[in-house]
Amino acid sequence: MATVADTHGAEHEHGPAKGILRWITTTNHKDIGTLYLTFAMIMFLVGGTMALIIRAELYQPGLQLVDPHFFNQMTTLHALIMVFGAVMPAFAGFANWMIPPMIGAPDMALPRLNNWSFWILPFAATLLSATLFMDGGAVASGWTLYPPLVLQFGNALPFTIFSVHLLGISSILASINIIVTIFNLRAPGLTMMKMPMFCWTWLITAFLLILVMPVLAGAVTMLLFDKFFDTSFFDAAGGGDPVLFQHLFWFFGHPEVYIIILPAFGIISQVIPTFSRKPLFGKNSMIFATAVIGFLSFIVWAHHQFTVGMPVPAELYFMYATMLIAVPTGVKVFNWLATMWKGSLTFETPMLHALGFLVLFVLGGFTGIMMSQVPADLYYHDNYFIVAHFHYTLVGGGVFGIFAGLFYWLPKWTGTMYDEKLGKLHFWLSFLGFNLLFMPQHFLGLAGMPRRIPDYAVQFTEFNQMSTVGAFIFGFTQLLLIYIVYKCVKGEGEKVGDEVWEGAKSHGLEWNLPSPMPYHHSFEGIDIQKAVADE
Amino acid sequence: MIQRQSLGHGGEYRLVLRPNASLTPGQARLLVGLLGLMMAVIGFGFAAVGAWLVLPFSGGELLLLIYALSCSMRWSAAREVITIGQDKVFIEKGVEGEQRYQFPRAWLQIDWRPGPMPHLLVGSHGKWVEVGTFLGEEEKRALARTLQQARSLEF
Ligand code: HEM
Ligand SMILES: [Cu+2]
Repeated sequence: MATVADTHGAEHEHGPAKGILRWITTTNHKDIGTLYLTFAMIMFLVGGTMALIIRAELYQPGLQLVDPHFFNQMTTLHALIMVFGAVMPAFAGFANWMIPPMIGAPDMALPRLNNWSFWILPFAATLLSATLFMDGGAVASGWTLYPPLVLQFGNALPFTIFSVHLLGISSILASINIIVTIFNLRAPGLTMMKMPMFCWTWLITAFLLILVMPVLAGAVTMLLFDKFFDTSFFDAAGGGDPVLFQHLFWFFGHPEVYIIILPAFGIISQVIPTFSRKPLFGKNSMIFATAVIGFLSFIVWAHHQFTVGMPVPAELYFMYATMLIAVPTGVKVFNWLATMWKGSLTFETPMLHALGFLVLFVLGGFTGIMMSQVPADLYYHDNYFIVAHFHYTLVGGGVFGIFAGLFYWLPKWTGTMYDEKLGKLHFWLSFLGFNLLFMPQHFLGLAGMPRRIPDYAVQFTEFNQMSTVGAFIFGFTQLLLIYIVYKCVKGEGEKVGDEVWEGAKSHGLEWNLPSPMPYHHSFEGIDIQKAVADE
Repeated sequence: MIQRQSLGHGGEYRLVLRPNASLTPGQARLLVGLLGLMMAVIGFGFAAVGAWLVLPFSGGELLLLIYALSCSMRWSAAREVITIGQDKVFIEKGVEGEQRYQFPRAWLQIDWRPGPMPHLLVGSHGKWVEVGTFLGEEEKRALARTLQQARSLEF
């Protein structure tokens, strides 16, 4: 039996259990964050491969590579995998890594629940992907799963619905954990308003998730009932209404796009101040704007249904409500610009991605306002303009936000600086590839090319070819990202100090912790109130 | 978090160990009430137009949230109070000090068990009790050092 005095000098194990069991049984928020991020990376590759199959087919008019049914399975799975398998888990990874240290907590509030919320994901994703190999192939309805079309798919349907349930449960567990952690585990003195923006945006995201996931779960369950238990929720012949499904889906779906973008807003609000060497401009208004965006996201859903034949007053209402979102979003954008104003800016990779985010997200936001106009949307609806718009927000916004956060915190997590040259190369290839990929799709849409088709009229060829070339550049550039991360995780590169970025200590508690962040961090010796007050 | 309270006379002191607990029961009820209200508006709204299957999912989720909140708040209400007295060390654990232990100060033994999450035990004469269960590693180390010194304090 040793006493403290004896063991103090001696080296002893600080780390976790060894081997695969560590990852299966872990309840440590950092391990779980790593799992989420690794899983997201794999899913980006899977969903990205599907996107490249789509783009390869669209390189030329006519049918070359895949048959139309398979093409539609690809669009459906690409979207479901990107949304539920890649982007959302990536943000959950950031939440796990960063929320506890940002609020001065030793771990998430419910560590075992945390383990579950991750480990449901690989099963759900495998199940979803496996539907490709079932009789009749995967569901080919598009990710919106509209009846009656979706009810015509065979064996894949119940499995797809089950996997959507699992993916939903995983997000719910993660959100509950985040809500409880943020409310109950803040360090003494760290009031809500002092909390970093990233925690705030995630908190609001978690509220959105908790409120809309039951709607999605209910909607797909009703599909299941209609298919197998002779109900007619969505069947006009039995007194139901197929448009009801659209209301349900978009009541979930519109907040869902904010679920994808709000955590990115949070990351950008951490990154821009650091590289501007100024505190975030108007933090309280940022918090308020985020909350308003969260609220508005619940009352605009039917802008996805302008063409279904709604009464004119309803169309007008949804049009004006949608336009309103531009106001709080504008507040955020101008606050970011004001943060940079007269700052001493430097352009390390995370900052480049944050600026890329700003440019791309604002473009996506502008096309959003165009589409909010009912008469204009009657034309844009279901054509490539829409595809361009939502990729500017989801990829230009969401994914570039993920890139910014990854390069920003990776050195803190690993204790090693990533390769800055390669990082910048990755940014520029991604940014240019992205614009080559999606910018021409605006023009395709304006010229009348519909979305979700494997073939098109010859006059659309050139823009499609540009888009496909851009897609392959963007896609293969991500292999470079994997190489950069791999190198950094292996410790090949310059070692970093606690602060990592010049002056970062005044921008967040996490920069007071050692790099790499210890397996069990604690804030011994760090005056949390003072550190936060500096922010 | 470790708080040190001086007991006034003779240098005796008390260490109060607490996990973070930033939510009061009232605030928790407010949170559940507000979320429940919003869920009810959404769930009953859809039920009114025929889509009643949203409600069971919202209900289940709300129960889960309540359960999660109550677990977390139960854990974070726990305290460990270590009183360093003239000749005895008193340890009280639990929300209201349900578990009580006392050890002769001069015979206090301290056991540090390294591992992924190190354990700190104190005891004497074959009786041991774990302390600092909700402290991080460094705080736990600091506690161990303090207790180590407390053994030989002169009052
Ligand atoms: C590697 C980058 C990506 C490329 C090259 C890409 C490409 C595509 C293509 C070609 C389509 C099909 C358009 C059509 O035929 O109508 C599509 C659809 C879609 N993508 Fe992506 N995408 C990428 C990333 C993402 C990400 C990260 C997300 C989500 C966060 C996403 C969400 C969607 C959605 C929701 C659809 C609509 C599917 C449907 O019509 O049901 N994409 N994408
Ligand atoms: Cu929308």
